[in-house]
Amino acid sequence: MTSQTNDARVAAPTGLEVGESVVLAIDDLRTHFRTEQGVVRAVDGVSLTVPRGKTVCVVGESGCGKSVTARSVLGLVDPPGRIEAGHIWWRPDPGTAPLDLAGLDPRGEPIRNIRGNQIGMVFQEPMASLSPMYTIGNQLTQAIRLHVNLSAKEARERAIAQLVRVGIPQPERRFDAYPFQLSGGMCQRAMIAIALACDPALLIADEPTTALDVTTQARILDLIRELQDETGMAVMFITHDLGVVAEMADEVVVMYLGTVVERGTVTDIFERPRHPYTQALLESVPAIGRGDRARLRTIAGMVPHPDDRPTGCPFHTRCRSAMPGLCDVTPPAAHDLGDGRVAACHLLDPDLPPSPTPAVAPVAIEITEPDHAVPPDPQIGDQPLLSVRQLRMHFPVTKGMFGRVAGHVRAVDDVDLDIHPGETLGLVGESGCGKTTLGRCIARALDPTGGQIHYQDPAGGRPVDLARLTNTQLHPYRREIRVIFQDPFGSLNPRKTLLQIIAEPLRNRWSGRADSAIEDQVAEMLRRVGLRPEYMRRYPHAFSGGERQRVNIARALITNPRLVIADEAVSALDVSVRAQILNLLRDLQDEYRLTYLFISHDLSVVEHLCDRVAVMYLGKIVEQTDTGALYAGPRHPYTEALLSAVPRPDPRLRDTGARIRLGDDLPDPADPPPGCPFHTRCPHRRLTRCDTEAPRLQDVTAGHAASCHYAGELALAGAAHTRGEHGA
Amino acid sequence: MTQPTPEPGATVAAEPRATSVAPPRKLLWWRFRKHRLAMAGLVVTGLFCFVAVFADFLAPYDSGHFNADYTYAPPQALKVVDTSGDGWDWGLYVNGYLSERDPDTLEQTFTVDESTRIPVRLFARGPSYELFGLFETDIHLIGPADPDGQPMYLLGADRLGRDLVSRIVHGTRVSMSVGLVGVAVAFVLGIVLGGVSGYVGGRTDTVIQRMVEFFMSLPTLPLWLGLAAAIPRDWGPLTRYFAITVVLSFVAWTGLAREVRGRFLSLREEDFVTAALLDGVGRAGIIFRHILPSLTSHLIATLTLSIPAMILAETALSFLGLGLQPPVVSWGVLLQEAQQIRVISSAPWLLLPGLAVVSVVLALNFLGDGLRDAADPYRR
Amino acid sequence: MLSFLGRRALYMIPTVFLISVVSFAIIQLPPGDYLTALVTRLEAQGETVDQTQLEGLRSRYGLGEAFHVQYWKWISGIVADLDFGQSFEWNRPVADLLADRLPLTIALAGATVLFTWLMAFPIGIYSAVKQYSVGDYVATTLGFLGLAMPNFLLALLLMWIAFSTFGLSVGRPNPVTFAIAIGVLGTAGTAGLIRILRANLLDELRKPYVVAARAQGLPERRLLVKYPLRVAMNPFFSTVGWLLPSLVGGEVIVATVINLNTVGPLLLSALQSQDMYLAGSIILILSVLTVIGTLISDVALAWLDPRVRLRTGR
Repeated sequence: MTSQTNDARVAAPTGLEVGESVVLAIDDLRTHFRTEQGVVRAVDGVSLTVPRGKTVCVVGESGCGKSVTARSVLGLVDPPGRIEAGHIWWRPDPGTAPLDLAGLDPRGEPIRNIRGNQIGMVFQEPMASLSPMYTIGNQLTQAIRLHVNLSAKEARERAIAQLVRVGIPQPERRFDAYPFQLSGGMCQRAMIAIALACDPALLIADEPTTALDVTTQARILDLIRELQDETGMAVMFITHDLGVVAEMADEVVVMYLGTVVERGTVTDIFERPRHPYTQALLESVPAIGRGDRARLRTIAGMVPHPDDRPTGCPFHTRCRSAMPGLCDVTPPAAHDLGDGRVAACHLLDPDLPPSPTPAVAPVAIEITEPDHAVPPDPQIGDQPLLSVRQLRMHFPVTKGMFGRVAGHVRAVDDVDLDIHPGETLGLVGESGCGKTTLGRCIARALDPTGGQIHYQDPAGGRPVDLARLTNTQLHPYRREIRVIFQDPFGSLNPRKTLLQIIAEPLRNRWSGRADSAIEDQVAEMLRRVGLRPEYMRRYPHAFSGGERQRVNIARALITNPRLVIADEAVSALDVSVRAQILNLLRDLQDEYRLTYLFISHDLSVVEHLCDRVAVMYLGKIVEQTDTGALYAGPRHPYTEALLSAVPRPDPRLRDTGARIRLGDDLPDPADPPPGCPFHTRCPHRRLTRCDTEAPRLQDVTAGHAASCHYAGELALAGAAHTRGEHGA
Repeated sequence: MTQPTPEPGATVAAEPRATSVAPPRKLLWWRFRKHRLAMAGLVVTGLFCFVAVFADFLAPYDSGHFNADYTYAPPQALKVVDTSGDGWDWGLYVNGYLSERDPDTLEQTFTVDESTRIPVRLFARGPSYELFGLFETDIHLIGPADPDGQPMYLLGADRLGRDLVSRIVHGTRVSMSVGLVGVAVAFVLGIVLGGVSGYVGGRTDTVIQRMVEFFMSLPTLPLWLGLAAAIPRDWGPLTRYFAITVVLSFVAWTGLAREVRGRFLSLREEDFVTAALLDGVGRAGIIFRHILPSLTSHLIATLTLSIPAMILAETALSFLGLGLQPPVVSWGVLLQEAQQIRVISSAPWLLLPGLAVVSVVLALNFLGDGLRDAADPYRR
Repeated sequence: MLSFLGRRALYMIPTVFLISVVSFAIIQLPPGDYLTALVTRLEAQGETVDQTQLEGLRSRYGLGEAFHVQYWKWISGIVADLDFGQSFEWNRPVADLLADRLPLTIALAGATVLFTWLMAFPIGIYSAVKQYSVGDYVATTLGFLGLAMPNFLLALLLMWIAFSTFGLSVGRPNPVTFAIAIGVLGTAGTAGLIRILRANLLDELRKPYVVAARAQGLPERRLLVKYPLRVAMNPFFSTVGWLLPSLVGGEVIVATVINLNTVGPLLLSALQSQDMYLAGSIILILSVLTVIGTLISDVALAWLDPRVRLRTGR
């Protein structure tokens, strides 16, 4: 295979040049999976180059083949997947001829010498990517000794040095720790240490931060950039998050259904996207710090499954600029637009007669704002719809054979919260902070350990304390407060039709039959959430994640509720579908006068949707105020750190603004630290009070509460600030 | 969020027309149909069930019919056409026997005599029986054309000259039903205790779990032997039969209870169960309309997989003389005749009931495996 | 780790106590006792029994007394000076009888375990690594057959083959029958282990850490041995606790076909003749061995798998 690559500059058939500045060049790669159902063309003609020392981000929604592309490079595609055609030119050293990795036997010696030695790889699930049976040190020294001839003792020293390099504190101790004893962030650091053990020329990072919290993500991204500066390696970074792309990339490759639709430099892609898909994708992402609450633009429909690929241009089914007779017949060629920009779209074909649709026309669906959406809801009054007082939810930690209670996890610990009618209250925090538990307590899916949940029916009547009602007494209130779940797959009973699922709360408790009036109601509801009424006899397995989430919404709204608790309702969805669902939630709120408790870890989505925001940390609310005030001027150091960690989908904002990075480890919620719970990670910690005295949540300014001793004194940076600085 | 390899399940969902409207039961069947071995298992199991139900009709004789003149008579081949004469003489028949007695040992030996013909016919008359206890008849699927003439031994005869075909067919009824009844008893115990344990949780769960663990820590076979030996010898065949099934299920329920509990626990945490709770569905509704339907396919698979163990255990106990006793006929009882190597070497056909055991156990295993795979295509 | 061991050992005590009660109850279940069984047998042979002699025997063995009194006599003897009582049928102390038989039983069990592992290990690995190959299908089919075939049937078949083709004498135990016994006893276990090992290994091979290790450039063979295999080996250790009792149980059946002087046939005859102290003691010893075996496999698992060791009780 190497014989044909003797020439230092090899011109591939498509004109792709493997120049000296290029470390990796993928040329028309096709990786297919031959399954019983037929051939799935997961990667179907991908070409891209990774310049020496640069970062190339491969971005796309799920199922677009970006992971398979990355794995193809190292020959790691699992059967029945195979590289069917194409070349992967690898040139770690400008002085040598490029080598075609696609031609190597995936189980052979040559590719093994490249894996881990010349190309390192980091995966999405750090915990699962490390064997639970061996210590971190064992796995790291093995990676070193595989490619470098060192004695055990030398390898150990080098491994510890490597752990120091990736910022793992107490490396000697961590060397002997097992992966499950470390946090996810720590494990990802260990993974990076392993991937970089032999100073590879290229690091392939496959969604390395997707499974991590936003604070941890920020630190891992920093680490990768630092190590890149230090070693001069190239990085191929796979992600679905446009914010991460803007933070990391030098060059961007946008993929759709196994093909590259556009590639170019990061500024070109973000500021002058040429392909309709890239344009639509960028417009469907809410950006943090913009204070932008307008409707998002969406892409119609969803990504088709790779084995159901449309003919012609793969994107034509969702493209607003699609030209009938051309786009649905002929696949577009990759057009070189100069400066290394390539886009595969018929609109950019210079030979094509100018079409009525301008090439750069916005393609995302333009939906006019509903009229009544503009003015703020006049209903927001002084009387809260729901007021939570001193709510506690403690889970016992049992030990031993007979379930002795050894302690309590304080998932929710003395929470006070008011939700006013018609508003959207956002609840944010890292995973494990108790936000989901709080939501479930309010919905009374859990029985709180203590405290009150006062619910005031706006139609009148006395307030009731939901926390004290029995299951039977709760029955009328279950129709008033509804939940939209996170997991679109687990939340719908696979054995019930949509009709049965949505009509469940309407059924007579005892007779249990759905009559035709209920059927009409369900049909109307389905139509309202954007599904066809005739779907009501189908089962959930027939629907995609986005459609299922619409069903979830229909189920929540069928009882005409007052309060809807949306628990990470859009977290499991792809970018384009997420925008559709966010818009739908917004429309429904206006239409049905809904009040939302929107629980999310995604601060940009919360900013986009919510009127007020509460920030949770270790079971307590640490800050609560209007969205604008919170994002512009946070009063709690934790909020500041969260905001600064969110990657912004604008490459011009890179390296601007505050960079506050928190330590990776959340304290054990069964044994919270004394004093301020945040003091172990707080960059503004002062020795005087923070370790000993617990701060209370109190107003710093009117309507802006924070639980920090120094909330009034600290000058903390918000997300909106950075925008101002940039403009200045 | 990317899937490195496409999931097989995802592709099924992508075929829009047929699968999108099909209920889960149908999907299960479609997945099951793909397992060829499992389908074969289904067919074989069905055949055995058919034999068990129509045993009286299918067997040429009843199970106790004996003829001391034909001790250890070898199998006869069923022939369709007689070419010994001048032409082809169509018609079912078997050859008769030549018997010889060794003058020294007085041992009787048989050889098949090619010259004699015993005509055989379908729907022949034989011993009368009551079909399903409804009406009396003496029609059998196959038998010697002359019911009072020479007997027919398609698979040979045993020590008392009893027809092995008839005995295996009648044994099918007992052996299969022991498995089914035993599993049914174990199932009731397992699902009630496991379900209570899984749904109620807390202290009840702890107590039941300790109980299950204790039962599981007892060694199975010695326990079976001990309990089976404790069944009084003077009990009638039917009482004994039920006692044996109870003994068998007594040991088998623990595994089922664990399985049911585990499934209950994981299902209770599923979002759709929480959703039902928030829909205002009561506790009974949640258990019977949401949790149990999700369990059924797994339960059926697990049950299918535990029947073979029951059949094997009954066979072993009866073989040792601790299980069912003659005159009840089960495969284990039949195999008891074949305990001596000397007997086997002179009458190897006595091992044939073992073939029935092996085939039905294999069939049930394949069937159960196929069901489990179909019920749980992703095997979490 | 030590306290984990200690606690596990402590939990054994109530279990063993309950087991002893259950064992004793089982042998007390049948109506009548050894003597009534003896009398009926003798009378069936036309002999008469001297009533006074009978009463003497009855009081000597305490047969007429209440359940708890009999149980106490039995269990205190065992705990105090390992006196398992007297066998009526053999007219010898149970302990002596067991001492005669145990060495061969243990030798048989050990050999069977070794056989099982030596067979199951390579076949299971091969089957998983070369999934859907011809060898995999053969191994899977044989495995299914091994599970479906009753022990005694296999024993009968093998003995018949040995007898008819090699003219082997069946009456007395010899190395060939011993080997056949090992093969027969090991077959079901081997088949089961192959299935479990194959399924576990296939599961492990799909885990992300295998791909990650491959991405480091680890050769396939080393990768297989170092990572998935170590996890997939768990069933080998978790079955240790069950081996002895299930072997003795299987051996009861096999020994009826193959003449072997082991504990199995002793248990069978004791059960049949209501020789209660002998039967009860064997069941008790087997149960206790199971409990100890389970403890050993728990410890082995904890030692092998850091997740078990470090996550649960420390």
